[in-house]
Amino acid sequence: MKNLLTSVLACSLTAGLFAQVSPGNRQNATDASINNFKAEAPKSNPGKKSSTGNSIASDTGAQRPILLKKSGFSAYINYDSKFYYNSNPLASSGSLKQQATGVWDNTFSSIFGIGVFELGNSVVTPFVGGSWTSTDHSEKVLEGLNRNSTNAFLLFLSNYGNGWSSKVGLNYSNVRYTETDTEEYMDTNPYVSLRYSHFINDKTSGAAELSIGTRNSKSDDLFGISDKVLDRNEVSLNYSLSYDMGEITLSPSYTLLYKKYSESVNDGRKDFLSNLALRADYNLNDSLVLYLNASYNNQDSSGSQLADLGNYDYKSWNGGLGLGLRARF
Amino acid sequence: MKLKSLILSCILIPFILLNGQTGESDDSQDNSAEASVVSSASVPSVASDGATESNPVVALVRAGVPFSAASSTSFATARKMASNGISKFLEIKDGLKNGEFTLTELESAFDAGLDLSKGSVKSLVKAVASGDGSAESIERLQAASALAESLLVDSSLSQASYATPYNAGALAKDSTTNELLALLNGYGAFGDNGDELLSLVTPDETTNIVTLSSSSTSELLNYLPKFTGSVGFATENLDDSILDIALSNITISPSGPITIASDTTFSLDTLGVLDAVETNGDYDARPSDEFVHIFAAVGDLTISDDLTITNTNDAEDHALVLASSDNVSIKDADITYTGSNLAIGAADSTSDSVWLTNSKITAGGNLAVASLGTLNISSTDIVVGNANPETSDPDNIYLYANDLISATNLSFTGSRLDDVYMEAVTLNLTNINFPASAEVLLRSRDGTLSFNPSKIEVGSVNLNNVKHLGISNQSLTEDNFNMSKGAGHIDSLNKFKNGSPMMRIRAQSTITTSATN
Repeated sequence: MKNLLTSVLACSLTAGLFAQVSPGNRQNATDASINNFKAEAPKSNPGKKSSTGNSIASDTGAQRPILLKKSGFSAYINYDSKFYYNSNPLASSGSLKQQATGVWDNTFSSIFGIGVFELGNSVVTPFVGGSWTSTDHSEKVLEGLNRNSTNAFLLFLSNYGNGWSSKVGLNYSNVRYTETDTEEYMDTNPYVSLRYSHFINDKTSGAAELSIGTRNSKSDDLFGISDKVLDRNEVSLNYSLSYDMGEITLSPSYTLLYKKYSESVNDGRKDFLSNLALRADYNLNDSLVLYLNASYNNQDSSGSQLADLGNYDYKSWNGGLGLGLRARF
Repeated sequence: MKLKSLILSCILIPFILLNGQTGESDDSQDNSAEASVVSSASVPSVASDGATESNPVVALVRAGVPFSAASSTSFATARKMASNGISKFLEIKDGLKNGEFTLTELESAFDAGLDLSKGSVKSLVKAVASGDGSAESIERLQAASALAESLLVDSSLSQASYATPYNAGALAKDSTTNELLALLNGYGAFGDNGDELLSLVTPDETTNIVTLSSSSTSELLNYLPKFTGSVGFATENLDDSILDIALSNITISPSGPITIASDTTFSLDTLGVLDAVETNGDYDARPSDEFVHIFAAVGDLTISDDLTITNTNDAEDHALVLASSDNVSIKDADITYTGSNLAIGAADSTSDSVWLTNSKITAGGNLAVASLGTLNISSTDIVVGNANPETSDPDNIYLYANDLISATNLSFTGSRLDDVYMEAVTLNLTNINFPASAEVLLRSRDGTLSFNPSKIEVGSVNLNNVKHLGISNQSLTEDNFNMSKGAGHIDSLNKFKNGSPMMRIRAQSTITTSATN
C-alpha cells in the first residue's frame, strides 16, 4: 500500500503538467459513504466568474493557476446542526429498516489555511483544522450509540488547471461513546486524492474524485482479539453533479468505496459500499445554509473470519434537514 | 438528545439570524477547492463507521442477540459476555436468542462473579438463577462446574476414557451435589421436566448437602411421574422388593454425547463394576443387594457399528443401563451385552427419541428399552436370556414409550423368551412374530385393539400382520381374542398350560404399573 500511496502521490503532484485549476466541491468519498449529510461551504456559482479567475479557468486562457492571495492566511469556523432519519443505525444485515431512529448531529469545526505557495505548475495551500461532533439518537434504546467524535487534519491542497486538483492529507479521528466517555475508536488516515471538475453547461458542473488511503485504527475490540481489527486500506471513487437552480443548488452524487481489511480476524475481509445521495442547498444568506439530504447505502462484505458472529452486509437510508453556519476570517 | 447541543443550537442560530453574516464575504477568496476542504471538516468524523462496528451493542445485534436484550446490555456486560472467547459468546447469544435464560439472569451470574470459561453457559446461568446467589453457593457451583466439565466430554465408550465411576450414594452426600444437579439440569440431563424434578431436591440450608432420607431407590419412586411427565408405578408396586435397590449399589459413568462409529469392545470387569453379588451362592441375590451401572450420556447416544460390552458376571444380579438425556440412535449395529440385564433409555420426548434400525441387540438376561417420546423399531432382532440358561429362567423384553411404539419387522431370533411387555399411548406393530413361549402384554391408553393397516388408531394397540406362534401361524385377527369384556380387558383365546392368556391387551391408568399382571 505504501508503494501505491507513493505512486498516487507522485501522480497527483505532477498532474499540474497537464492540468489547470477548476473549482469544485471536494466530495470526500469516504465521508460520503459514511455521512449522509455533507455540510458544505458556500460555493462559487458555476455560472458566475469570480475575480480569482479560477471558476472557469479555460475561459480566461490561463494555463496554470495564478496566485493572487496576499496574506496567504485564511480561517473558517463552522457550525452544523442536522436532524435526520436513519433506517438502520446499527448497520445490521437484513431488512432496510431496523431500529430506525432520528439522529441529531452537531458539529463545530475550524479550518486554517496557513499560506499559499507555488510548486511547479500548481498552487499549494496547506490546511490544518479540527472538528468536534456530538451524535445523539432520538430512540432511547439507542442511547448506547450516542457519541462524541473528534477530528484533526493536516492537508496540502494543490490546484493545477483545466479542472484538476489533488490533496495529500493526514486525518486523526477518535470516537468516545457518551455512556462510557472512553475512547472506543481511533484512527489515523493518510490519504491522497485526485479530482477532476468540469462544467456540463452554465448551470451544471460535475466532479470525479479518486481517493486512496489507509486507516491505522485502534478500537476496543469486544473479544480482545486485537485492537487493530479495523485496520484497512480504502479506495473510493465519487462522481457528483451540482445543478444551480437559482436559490437552490441540487447535488446528486454516487460513491463506491472499497475497503480491504488486513489485521487479525479481519484479515482478508473486503467491503464494497455504495452510496447514492441527493442534496439540496438553500443559502439563507452568505453565512447560513439550509439543506435537505437523502442517501442510500448498501454494503456487501465478504471474507470475514468471524462469520459466526454475523456478516457485515447492510443497507440503510437516511434523510433529513440541516442548518449550517459558515464564518470566515 | 443532549442538552448541551440543544443549548448551543439555541444560542448560535438566533445570533446568526440577527447578524446575517458572521464572516467576510469576499468572492475573490472563494476558492471552491478550499470550500471543499471546509466542507469536509464540517461533517461528522469519518471514523463513525469504525465506531459503529466496534460498538458492543452493535456487535451483539450483528451476532444475533435479540435487539431487546442487546439494547439493554451495558458495555461492561457486553464485554463480559465476550470475555471468554467467541464460542462462549455464541453460547450466550444462543441462550438469549432461544430464551434459555434472560439478560437479567445472565447479569446476575456476572454480578455473582461466575466464571463462564468452563461448563455450559446455559446450565451455569440457570444454576445461579436457581441458587441463593451467595458467595459460598457460587464457589460450590464453580467446583461443580469444573467437575461437570471434566465429566461431560464426548465419548466413544473407549476403555481408557472412563475412570472410576461415581457412586450415586456418595454423590448424594456431597456438598456440591445440589449445584451439580442444577448444572446437569441446565445441560438437559433430566429431560423436559428437569426443573420440576429438581424442585423436589432440597439441600440442607447449612451444609448444602442434599439430604436423602432414604438410601434406596424405593423411596425415590414417587418422583418418577415428575420425570416421565405422568407415568410411574402403581401404589401397590412401590413396596415391591425388586424396586428396592441401595443407592450405594448404583454407579454412574457420566459423559457428554456418546458416539460409537467403529467396532468397539468394552469390559466392565476392567471398569470394576457389576461384580457378582454372591460368588458362591445360589444366584438368588436379594434385589436390595443388586448392582446397577449407568453409562449416562448427557446428549445423544449414537451407535452405528458393533458394540460388545463384556462382563464375566452373567448372573441376574445386576443391570447395565445405556442412558441418554436426549436421543438414542442405533442403526446398522450389533449390540451385545455378555452379562445379564441390559436397559437402554432416552429422555427425549419427541418422535425421534429412540431409533432401533437394522440392528441386533443381544442381552444375556432381560432387555428393557424406554423412551419419553417415541420408540421407533425397524428391522431389528432382539435376543435375550441365553447367558445363563442353567441358573435362570427365560427372560423378558420390556419396551416402553410415553407416546408411541412403532415397531416393524421386529424379531426375537434365538431368544429364550418369557414375557414381552409393551406400553405406550399407541402401539403400532407390523410384521412381528412373537415366539410360542412369549407371554405378551400390550398396554395402550385405551386398551383397544385395531387391525386396520390403513389407519392407526391413536390410543389403541394396532396390529398388522402380527403373529403369535403359540396361537397360530396366521396373522392375528379379532377372532383370536375374547372381546366380550371390552376395552382394557382383551385376552387371547389361547392360553398357556398355567391358564394365562398368551396375549393380553390392557389400558393405561393414570399411574400405571410396569409389572405384568
